[in-house]
Amino acid sequence: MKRSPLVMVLSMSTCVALSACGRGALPPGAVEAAAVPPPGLDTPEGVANFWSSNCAGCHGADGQLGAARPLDDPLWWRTMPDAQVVETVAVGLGRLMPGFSARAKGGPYIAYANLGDAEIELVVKGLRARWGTPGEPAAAGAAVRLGDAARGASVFANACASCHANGTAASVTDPMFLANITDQGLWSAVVFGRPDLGKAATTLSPGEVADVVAHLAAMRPAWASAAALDPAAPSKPATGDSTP
Amino acid sequence: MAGSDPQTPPSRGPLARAVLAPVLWLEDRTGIGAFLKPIMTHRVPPSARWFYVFGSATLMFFSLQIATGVCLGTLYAPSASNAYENLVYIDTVVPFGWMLRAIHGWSSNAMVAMMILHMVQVFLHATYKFPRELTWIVGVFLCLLTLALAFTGQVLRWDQDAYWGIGIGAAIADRIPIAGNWVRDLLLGGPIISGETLNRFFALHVFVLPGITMALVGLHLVLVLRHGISEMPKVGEPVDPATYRESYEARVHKEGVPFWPDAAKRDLVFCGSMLLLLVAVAMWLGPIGPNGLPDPTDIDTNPRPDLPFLWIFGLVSLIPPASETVVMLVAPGVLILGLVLLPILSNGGERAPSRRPFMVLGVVLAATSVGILTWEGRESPWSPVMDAWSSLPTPVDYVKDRGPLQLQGAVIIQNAQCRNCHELGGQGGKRGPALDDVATRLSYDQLVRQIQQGGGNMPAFGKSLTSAETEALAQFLLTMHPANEQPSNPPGALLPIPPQAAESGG
Repeated sequence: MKRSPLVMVLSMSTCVALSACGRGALPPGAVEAAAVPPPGLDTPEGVANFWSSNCAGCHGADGQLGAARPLDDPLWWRTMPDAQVVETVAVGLGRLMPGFSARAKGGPYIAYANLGDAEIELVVKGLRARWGTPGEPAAAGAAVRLGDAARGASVFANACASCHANGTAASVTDPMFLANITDQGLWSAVVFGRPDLGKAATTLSPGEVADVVAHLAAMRPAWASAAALDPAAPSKPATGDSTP
Repeated sequence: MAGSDPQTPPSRGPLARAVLAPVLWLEDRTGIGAFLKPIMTHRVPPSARWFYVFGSATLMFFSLQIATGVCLGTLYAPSASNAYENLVYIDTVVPFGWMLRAIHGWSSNAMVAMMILHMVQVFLHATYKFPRELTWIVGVFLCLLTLALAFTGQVLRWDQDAYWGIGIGAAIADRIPIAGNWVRDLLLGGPIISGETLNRFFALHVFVLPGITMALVGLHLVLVLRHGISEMPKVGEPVDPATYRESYEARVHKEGVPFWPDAAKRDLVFCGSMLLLLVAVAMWLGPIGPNGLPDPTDIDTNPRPDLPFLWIFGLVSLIPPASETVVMLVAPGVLILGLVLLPILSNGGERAPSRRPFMVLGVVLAATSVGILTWEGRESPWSPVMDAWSSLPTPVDYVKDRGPLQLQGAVIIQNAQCRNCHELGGQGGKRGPALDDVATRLSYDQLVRQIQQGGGNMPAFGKSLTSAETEALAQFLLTMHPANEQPSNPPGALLPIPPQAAESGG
């Protein structure tokens, strides 16, 4: 039987048009989007996604070997209570760690700052489950205590100077380095080191650490005041000055 | 057409006569059949085969646009505050409203594609030569109208793409010497994009442009009928305006076939297949847009024009800034004038593509350029990667063996969002140069100057980075050179002398 092309085209288009009926009344994209909701922050996948898009840039794809401190460090999690981590993520630390919450006022560089504290708490809980030691009691806290700078100078000369004195490749007395880092940052650097880069945690006693941090903080150049290190600081002197 | 033939044979039965009677009455009073019959059966050259279907397909898609456009007109409200929700409503609440929008959107692209194929075929076969010059010139204006319809239709979506598309269109209009501001105000309904703007584009898209297009399509068809469909070009048979018409009439009278059904069946099969393809594309890809609310304060967006304009998007993004006015204003004018004057300047001679190599080369060049620019526009590698700074880790090799100050610099590279525009280890934006070997190109002084003052499309960071941060960043960037390649050493720069050289050099 000879079929005209017209009949074939018409029957084919009828088939296609009928197959469209099975797709329902919503556009293709809408159907697929509704079927698979993204994993929430209360799931390991959700926290992993959050890490990849917000934290991996500085802290490394797997929590290590990034430009900034590794967070896959059990010692760090043992020392840091959740509340302190949440606060650091929310408002940042100095000018190098940006704040990610609405409270951070955007921070120095952040194009968006839209996280609520509840979301940050979920993230921190998820990260502790991933890298902390399970079943451990909550950490007491890691507030920085500045010791005696003069004692710290001798501790530094004995324990640190061979690698970290000025003029060495790993100098930590470089005024530019000290201008960029907060006291908390110095304390963390001394206490935790960079285990991912082969620089082990300290063997100094807590008192010696406090002294060394005081020594380093005292060497920070005068122009790098606390205001320069704290993104929220500019508003503080203004309110302080206006107080009668 | 047989049914409208007034000469009914007397042998038909009473039923057939009863059915035919009203048809015959209508034909007798209006004469539609007598009017259409010579049009439908006019003789066309037998060589007019599959090459000639693109014009019909363009007309078919235009008719489909009118039909679906009228349907959308019953659902759409041109209000700046509601247009976006209106589209969401059509997509999600109106039964198969999404299909209506999908067909209208994809049929617009299909109409542009068919029109371009039609134009390229006519250009390659030199059909624009005598006596069909005016047919071509009307076609050039139809091409511009089709693109204008596509652009104004994109604006009616009133999403981010529409907002930025019209912003760029207005900025181009603004560049017109002397009358620029006036043209921009005319387009936008004022100096800024507002509800007035949407009303103007609605009026253009729904009344003005379709009206003019329909009139010109009519003229185009009248001219096609008047001069007849051209034959396939043959080598050695050049067009001679003095004798062409006589010889064409003679050949068509002798060898020609009636348009209906001989030539029309190819048009029907092709149009039917294209319609089928369109339904499939509309069904599987869904409606185009809307892509996000139009928010001028939201810079974290990546707006793109619709497919027919992607190549222009690519072009204006890649040309050097100094050439912008020439490329945006002078080039389109020259191009359109060239197309309009083409049949006037060359209305005789050879039609065969093999005898017009430069014309073929021009088509190949244009197709390649537009294709590559469309690809570039789609990829838009010049757009910053807005989340690169927080999601792309510093390559591990660039973290190892770095000092404390250099590691601070590595953090600042992320924080200052350098990687949104600069690649590191093959990841990041492509707007600026990759930084993996930046130390081989820039010295310390040049790095600091570039960071603080910017330049060459890079913003200045002098106000957002402290001097200590700039120092850390520069110290990190100075480590960015291959192990076997020395850092940049500009003439006159003072380099620290390596210790062993200082000892042995004396």
